[in-house]
Amino acid sequence: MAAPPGDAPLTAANNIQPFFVLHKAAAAAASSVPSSRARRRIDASLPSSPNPKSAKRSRDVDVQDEEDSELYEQLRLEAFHRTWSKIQSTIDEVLRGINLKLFDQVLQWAQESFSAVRAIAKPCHAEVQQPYPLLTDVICRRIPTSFVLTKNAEFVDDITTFRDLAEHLQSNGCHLAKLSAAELSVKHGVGGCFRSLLRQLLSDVPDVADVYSLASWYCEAENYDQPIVIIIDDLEQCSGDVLGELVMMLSEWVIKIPIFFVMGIATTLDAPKKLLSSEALQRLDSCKLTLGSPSDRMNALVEAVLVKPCAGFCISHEVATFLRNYFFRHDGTITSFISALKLACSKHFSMEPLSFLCMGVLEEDCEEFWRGKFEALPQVIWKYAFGLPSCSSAKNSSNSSNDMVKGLSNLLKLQKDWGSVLLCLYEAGRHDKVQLLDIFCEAVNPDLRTQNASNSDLFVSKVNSEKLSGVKPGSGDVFMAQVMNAIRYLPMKTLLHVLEVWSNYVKGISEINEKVKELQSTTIDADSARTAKEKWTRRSTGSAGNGTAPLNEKAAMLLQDVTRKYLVPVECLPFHEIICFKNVSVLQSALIGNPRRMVQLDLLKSQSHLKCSCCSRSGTAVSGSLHDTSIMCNLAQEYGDVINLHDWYISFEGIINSTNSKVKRKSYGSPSKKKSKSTPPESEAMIQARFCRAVTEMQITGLLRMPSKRRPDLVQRIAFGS
Amino acid sequence: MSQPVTPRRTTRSSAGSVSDPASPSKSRPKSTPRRQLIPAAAKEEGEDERSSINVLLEALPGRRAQASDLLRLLAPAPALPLLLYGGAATGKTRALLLALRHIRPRPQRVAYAALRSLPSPRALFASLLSQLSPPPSSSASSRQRVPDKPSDFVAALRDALAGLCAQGEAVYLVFDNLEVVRSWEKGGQLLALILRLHDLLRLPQVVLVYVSSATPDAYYSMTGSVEPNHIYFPDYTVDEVRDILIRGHPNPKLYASFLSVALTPLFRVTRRVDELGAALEPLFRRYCEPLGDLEAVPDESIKRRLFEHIQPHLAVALNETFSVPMRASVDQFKDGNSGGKASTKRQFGSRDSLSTELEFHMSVSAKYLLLSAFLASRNPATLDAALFDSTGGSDNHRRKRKSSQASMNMKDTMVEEMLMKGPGTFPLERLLAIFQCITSVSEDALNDVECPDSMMNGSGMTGLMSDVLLQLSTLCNSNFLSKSRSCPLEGSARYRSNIDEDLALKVARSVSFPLSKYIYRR
Repeated sequence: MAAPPGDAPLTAANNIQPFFVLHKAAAAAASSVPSSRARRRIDASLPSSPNPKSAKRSRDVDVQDEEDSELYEQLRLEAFHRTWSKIQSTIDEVLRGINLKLFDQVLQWAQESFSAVRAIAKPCHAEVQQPYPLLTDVICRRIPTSFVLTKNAEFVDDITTFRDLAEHLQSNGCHLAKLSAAELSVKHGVGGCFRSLLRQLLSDVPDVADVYSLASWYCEAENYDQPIVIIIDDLEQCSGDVLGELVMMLSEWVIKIPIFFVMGIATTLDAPKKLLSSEALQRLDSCKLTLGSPSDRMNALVEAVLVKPCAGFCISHEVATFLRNYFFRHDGTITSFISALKLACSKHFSMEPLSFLCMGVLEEDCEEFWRGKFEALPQVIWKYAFGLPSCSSAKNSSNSSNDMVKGLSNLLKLQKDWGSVLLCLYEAGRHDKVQLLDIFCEAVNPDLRTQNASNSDLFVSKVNSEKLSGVKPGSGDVFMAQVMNAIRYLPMKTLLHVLEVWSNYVKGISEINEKVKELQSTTIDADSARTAKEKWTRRSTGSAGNGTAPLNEKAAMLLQDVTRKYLVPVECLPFHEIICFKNVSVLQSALIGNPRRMVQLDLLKSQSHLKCSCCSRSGTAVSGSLHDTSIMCNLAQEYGDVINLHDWYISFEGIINSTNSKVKRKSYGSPSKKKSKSTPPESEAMIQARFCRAVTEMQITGLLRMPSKRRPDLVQRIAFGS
Repeated sequence: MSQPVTPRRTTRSSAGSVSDPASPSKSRPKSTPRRQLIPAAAKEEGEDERSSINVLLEALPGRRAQASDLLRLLAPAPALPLLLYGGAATGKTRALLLALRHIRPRPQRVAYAALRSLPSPRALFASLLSQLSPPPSSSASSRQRVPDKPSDFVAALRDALAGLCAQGEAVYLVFDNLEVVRSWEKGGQLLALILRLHDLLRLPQVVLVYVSSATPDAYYSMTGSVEPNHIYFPDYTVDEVRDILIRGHPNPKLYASFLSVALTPLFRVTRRVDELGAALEPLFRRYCEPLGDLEAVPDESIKRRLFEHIQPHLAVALNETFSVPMRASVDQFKDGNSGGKASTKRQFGSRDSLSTELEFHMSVSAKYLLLSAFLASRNPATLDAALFDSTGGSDNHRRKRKSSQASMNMKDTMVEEMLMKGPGTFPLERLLAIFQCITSVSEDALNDVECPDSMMNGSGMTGLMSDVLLQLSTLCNSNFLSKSRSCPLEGSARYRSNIDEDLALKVARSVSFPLSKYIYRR
């Protein structure tokens, strides 16, 4: 199946093409029309479409509807592309920002080590090319090496990190080579590994790859005054022997050719100790650098994509919980989180008829955009829009486009406030190691709203740690309570910082902003008043585990108040269905894929896909006109976990022959030469061959296991159920 | 300073008609203090051999006997090859290179091959031939004729050498790190070839010098070649090491007082100068921390203060040198003075057990899988039923009831045997079975896995399993598990867990899984 051309550049990034194609064949086919043309078509046809309110109903309403639905599908596809590209670029930016700090550290380290090496000796070109070592007083055969701890056992996320690191170093003047675990394998040996090193540095690799050619290359004027950095991105997968040999070899030359290593370690610093011999380890002058942990990255990502409304797409509580669990319990990579998010996004746009309205968020004047769209909305969709559960529950009386536009704008505004308040909560909780994803999942919980409304008074008055520990996990707002508790015990300095960050977040909400300002000014007053007694104050705040400072109490009250007022989960708002993806089961089945089950199902129900005339009549009975594999699969359902090959073959033969005879009988009735010629009686050998092929196909798809030597006449079924 | 160098250079290059296109000069101008020493010796060349030897001896502290042996054995082209041997970092190469500068008559041509920096026999051949070939032939053309076979190499080598020897010059062929060859593919053959070069070439002017960290017995017991002269380089003594380390230090007094404290304990751990140098460097930085002025000459009181300052660090370093120093330089600075005590405590306490946090991220199911792999490797397969039956590890009475004293004893010996053998291997099926047991039994796991499970009801088992296989490959990639080649009898791949109990306990703690309940102990 070919990927739809419009999709290709986007899906290639995350490789979820198969899902998309499998589940949305129709849309994929349609999308082969270039989107710009589609847009024009829509624009051209929209004004001409009959006013949905007109009473006139013609026969071609159906045709019109069909056309409309196709149009809107186009529109939704376009909306998906635009929304996702926005999200993707945001993600890229965030991740790059996180990595940049590390990159600069690595660069600084490389430069420092280079100057350190050069401080020992600065050999001239002739000396560099001598085959024997330099005689210096300082014993230096240690290669500066930085171990970059990626802090994730799964490696996928870091592939791009190391690629970007290489680019960063290269653009800053280092010579760069990357060695992968495949090159540092026993198969290639140190020779092959060194050759690939040379290939990356030298323009033409000599016949015999040795250090001397590297030395003479390094002596060329344009190469001389920079260090060579070798990046090995997954140390754990390398062969220790080969790497050790390479280290020993290069360490003899380190003064002459300053080669440094950057090694990525997924687990702990024990990994190099286990991998390399002690002699090779002695040759490494190591330092440790750490990458942001996956949860840090996740926090940044959630903040940029889900909390700040970057593209007008959001997810419901259930979906958020699912994604969170998927991340923490099953996969743990940012990459798969992003691809899951993308899947959710694509599902949302393919399933929700009104989802194309999300695009409005990206327009400058969204209200204008929405109004334009609503005017042209066909009756069916119009009805659908006001039939949305969130909308019907609200007391909307007049169904006009104005209502809708207003509703949507309101929705966006509330979302924005929600995001700001959530960030405030996170800022307060981050000192207590609360993860944004956790708190996010709580904040989008629609049940929280009702709970909060009922027991808020009680909640404010007596939250303490004793009570917290009693609260069962999963019963609502564990993390929020933790935040509330944390803020009461924040030291003054941190609290001031938190307040400052708050005032930054809540700029859009004037009411809170004022309160925060007020709080800040009181602290400043208090501070200046207290400067005389500062010692006393500090002692009191330091030692006071029981009594909380009044300012903390005030801040907590403010946060409480704000949370109650502004932290409205998106699912409680009218029209949220348009921007919010809620269908967990769809996402889940798409993520898990379950290919074997799908293959089996398709084989069993091939009639429903093919919609051929021959099978619809026969009903439940297996028809011989089916594909062989499909017949076999149907027959296999009658057996237990082992299938007797002989019986299976007999029944297969029976079905094939019965069809043939039927056809034959038919052909006698209508003596058309063509038909009789087309169905010659199947020979035994032919049937056997078809049988064998079908069995092999089923084996390849993983539906059965071939007979063992012990029981040669039985095959084993692997896939059960339907 | 440059004046004494120049005459030497010119005489050298003119007389030797340039040895190597890459290195026109054999003299090494250097930035180190000895830079002056050697040219100074060169100035008086021919006049006073004694002074030249003295200079050499001064440059090689503690190697007096070896140096004079070298000069004696190298000087008039000897009839036998020469083998220098001794432990790593005992100054073999250095002594040889310096001696080659001081011998009379001056060697016109030295071809040096450090076998460690040559990845293959071919590279060795190419390097030697290019060092011996006359300069006009450009390196590109000579490289094209690199012989593949040892026999071709010998022929080519003889050709190259014959031309040189015809001029009556002595040619020195140096093979450094000879022991490396033994681990090469077909290294035995190559080694025999290298050792027999003397017999093969039969050129009296060619002097073969081998440098190795292995004793001559390692080489000459099996080959029938001529036994060479050998010079043994013993390990340095403490005093020699101290002399070597102090040489060229900017503040020798301060460094000497530091060494008097630090060297003796460390010397008990390793005698290699390079390792000692590396271990001492950060310690010296620590030592100097309290001092404002690094140029100052310390008096007794300061020395005592510094000693008290360095003592805790020294204890840590002692352990670390043994188990490979791996300090992050960034952390070192951050730790400041508070880090000293903390890390000391950590070292003396039960190794890393104080840092209970798992340092990297792993998904929960991967953690469970790792634990089950650990259990599968650690426990004998026969105990699985007892540990993981439907009621979980909690009911022990069944196991007790069933096992008589004798069978217990037998099991004990078996377990002991398994511990001695190291982690056992296990098939995938066993791993998956244990995985299922511990995820379903552990109360916390129930609580944890509940959400995804309830969501995965539709797919049930298959969804879980496909995921688990992915996790398995992750674990293999990060070296926590190793996949052995398929067992010849069963045909399926077997796995083995490589993690130690500390890490397993850490992982178990992070998912609050009672691992110790499941580990079978005697």
